[in-house]
Amino acid sequence: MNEETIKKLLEIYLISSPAIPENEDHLDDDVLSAFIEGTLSKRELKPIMSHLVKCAFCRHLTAEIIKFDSIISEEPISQTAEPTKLSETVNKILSELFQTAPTPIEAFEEKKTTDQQSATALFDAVIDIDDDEVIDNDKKDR
Amino acid sequence: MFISDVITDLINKCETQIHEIFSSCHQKKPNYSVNYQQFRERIEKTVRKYLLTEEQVPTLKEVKDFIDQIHADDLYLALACINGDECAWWDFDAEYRPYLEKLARSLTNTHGDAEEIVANLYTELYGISIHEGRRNSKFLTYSGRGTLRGWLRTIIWHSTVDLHRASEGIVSLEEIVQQVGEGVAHTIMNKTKEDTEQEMIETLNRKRYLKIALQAIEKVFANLEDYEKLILYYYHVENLKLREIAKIVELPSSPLRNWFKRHSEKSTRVHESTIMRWLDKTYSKILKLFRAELAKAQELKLKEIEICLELIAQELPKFSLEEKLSDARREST
Repeated sequence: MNEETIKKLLEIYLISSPAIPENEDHLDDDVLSAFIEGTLSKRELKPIMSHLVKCAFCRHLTAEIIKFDSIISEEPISQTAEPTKLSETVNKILSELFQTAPTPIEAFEEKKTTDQQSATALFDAVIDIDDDEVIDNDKKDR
Repeated sequence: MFISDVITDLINKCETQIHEIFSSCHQKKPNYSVNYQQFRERIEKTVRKYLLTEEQVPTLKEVKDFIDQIHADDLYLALACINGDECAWWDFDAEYRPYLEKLARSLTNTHGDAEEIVANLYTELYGISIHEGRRNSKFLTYSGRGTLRGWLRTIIWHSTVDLHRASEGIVSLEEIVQQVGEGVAHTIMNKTKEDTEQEMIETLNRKRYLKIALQAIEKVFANLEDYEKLILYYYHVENLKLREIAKIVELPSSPLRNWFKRHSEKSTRVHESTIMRWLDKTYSKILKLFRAELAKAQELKLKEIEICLELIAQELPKFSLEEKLSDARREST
């Protein structure tokens, strides 16, 4: 009975005290990944664990990613023979980026969604920036 | 000598080791446009990021072991991608695309969104803005400490959540986390409805004991070790399942595992039942410390401690945590 009481009291205390330290930076994605993978040594883990205890935000992130991990580990990776629409989008991005690979999705291009258009536009911008840079460099060379 | 200089000195002493690792990577992928200097700089940056703390200077052995543990092949690939190396990009695509597609599909309900996520990820990884003549590739934030696969999983999860929150106009995760807790605390302390005078007295008594109890539990919790606190948070606040906690502590390399297993038998796996037993032991320990705290700081006698626990036991079932949590969440959004 007493143990149940203390368990509930503890739970109330823990839920009602989600502090986020003001003078500490949040953990970045690189550290979060290494922590979740369990690759950190005791020495490296010490300050990270201390931050996770204090910072409800980072703790929540790690917990959500751990949950996500357990969901995806149960799902098989599909290796479909037929290229999916998603694969086609990525193929197009890489093809545009390096301008070498064939673009196998001519018909698909006509049915672009807004999302794809925005992604493609971003890459067009990259290519434009790079081209501009090349042009600028050319000018300098001259 | 500053710690930073000590690290420089230690890394210089690891020059041969770093060179050997680079040569091994280069041998496997001779066509990648990564040079030794770039590789060495990245290794040094990683060492500084993880081992440079003000508290303790690492030993040469610690630095050497650390460098050995860096996922060099993954880092080498990331560096080549940063350089815009086409071969590296196609290799990256072949190796990781099925995994990224799987992640994207798991994170979204519709196929269209998955496409947007992966397209955005590739955009970020390539880098669209130019800083000091270099593209600002997301790969620049990968250190090689964890695997590239694990890093990609975190990146894709994080950017999807941000994207979703931005598109739905939802307040930041940080704000929600803070406000939910404040809301719960406020609700708990103001829950009791006061009707008659007698009820008011009882309520005041209960409130007093509840306040004392919360103060005591705060003190007890503060004295636990960080790993104990973290696991209690994961279980009670973040609602991680026992098997999920077992998974993070069962990794052979995890120091969490070492803490966990130090008093138990030398079995290879940490099962859910191990975590359950650990939690039970921890509750007993907390109860013991809680009683001691009430006796010491609040100067309660044994009988009063029992009354306190009894009153709390009567009071606590009135607070449905699920309900309070959803109330607080509603208030905060």
